[in-house]
Amino acid sequence: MIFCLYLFICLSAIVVQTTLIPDIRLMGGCYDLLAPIVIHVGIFRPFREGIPLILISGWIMDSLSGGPFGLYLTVYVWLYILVRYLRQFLHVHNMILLTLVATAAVGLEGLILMGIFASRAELGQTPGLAINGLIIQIAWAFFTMPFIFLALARILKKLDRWRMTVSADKNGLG
Amino acid sequence: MFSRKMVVIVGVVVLIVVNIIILTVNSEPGESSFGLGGVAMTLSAPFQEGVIRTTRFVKNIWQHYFLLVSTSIENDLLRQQLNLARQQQTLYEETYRSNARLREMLNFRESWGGSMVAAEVVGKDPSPWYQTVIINKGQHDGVAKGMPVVVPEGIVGVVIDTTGSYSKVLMIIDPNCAVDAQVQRTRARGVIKGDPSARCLFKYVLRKQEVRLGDTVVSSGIDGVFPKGLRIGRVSEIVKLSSGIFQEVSVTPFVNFETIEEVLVIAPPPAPDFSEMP
Repeated sequence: MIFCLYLFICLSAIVVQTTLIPDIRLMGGCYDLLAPIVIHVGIFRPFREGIPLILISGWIMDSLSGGPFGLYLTVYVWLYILVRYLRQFLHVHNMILLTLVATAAVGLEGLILMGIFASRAELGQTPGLAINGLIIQIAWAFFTMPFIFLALARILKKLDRWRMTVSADKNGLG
Repeated sequence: MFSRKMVVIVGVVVLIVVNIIILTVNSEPGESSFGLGGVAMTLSAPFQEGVIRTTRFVKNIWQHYFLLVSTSIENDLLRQQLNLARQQQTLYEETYRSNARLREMLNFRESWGGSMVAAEVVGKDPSPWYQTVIINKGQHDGVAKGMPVVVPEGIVGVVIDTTGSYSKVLMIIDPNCAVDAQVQRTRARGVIKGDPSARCLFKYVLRKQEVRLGDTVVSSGIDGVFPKGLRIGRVSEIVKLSSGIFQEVSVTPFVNFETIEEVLVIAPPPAPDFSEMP
């Protein structure tokens, strides 16, 4: 059930990212919408849910984007490892701190991708444009991430509650 | 036997090595997705198509019914443009007819005998770092990897992945795309490469070759992908460094990649029939 939900969330994010956002002039440089999902799962969800989600997210992104297969999977794996490591030290349940961590993670994702492009000489003659694009992405992440986190938290909370009710019914406790 | 720290370090090193191996193996875009790429495209493309169609429907209603206020002014302007276009059309028709006659006289053979498949753009690249689009025609419609994609304004890109009903097109403004091209006026040759600035770089053009601002760049046909003579863009910047054998030329594409909705996929010309040869 949870994996169907993750697949649905990932597909929805991808559809929005590939159809609606490019038409909104202001949001032309929007960040990768799967990044907040990976970060949320890295911080709040158990390992057994996180690994399938990053595999699903990476697979979808790699399939639909023009990059080499495995690029986004790599980025998400490292993002996930980093976020899980950071949550040992930071009180990420604070929304402001969480937003800052997530924004930094989006910046890190951009830097990893830029590093890979630079190593493959894909940044062209104008790396300044890529940096500008990254700054716009970080700005969008800072202002919109809290809403995405709130929505994700609400959806997953409802799912957890539903699962508890179902398991209680099964055990005859309901 | 091993400390926890040691295990973590070894784990991270192994992960980095596996990462590098995977990325090296898959270093070319559109390659080695192990057949998994098509599944995700098949899953998401119908939804993308649905959302795009809905958006266009709403946009259409908005443009046709709610913006009638400005239609009257626009109508006058369009009438003027129509008159101008009629004059130009007459001129073009004359040119076309004389061209046809000259072709016949010179027994000029059509260089391209293939057919075209019309397709609609149903989604754009989810990554802001790559420039691809998803179109709603695939293997069932005769679209295959490596086919060139064009619009009347010029070259759009090349098909890099296909499923039954959908295909992924790498646009020429992506740094991974390259088109062998030449300046129409002087025949100066080079390679058109994408750039993050949404312009194209016309690389490997020799310093001694003459290129001017505003020159039209067309495909040379030598790369075996794009037919000869397809329009690409206009030269917008030329930098001749004091050293080096090449000049740096920027080209602004004729195609507006932001607003692209329909495209044409060019099928290769039919293979020559050698069965009747002695």
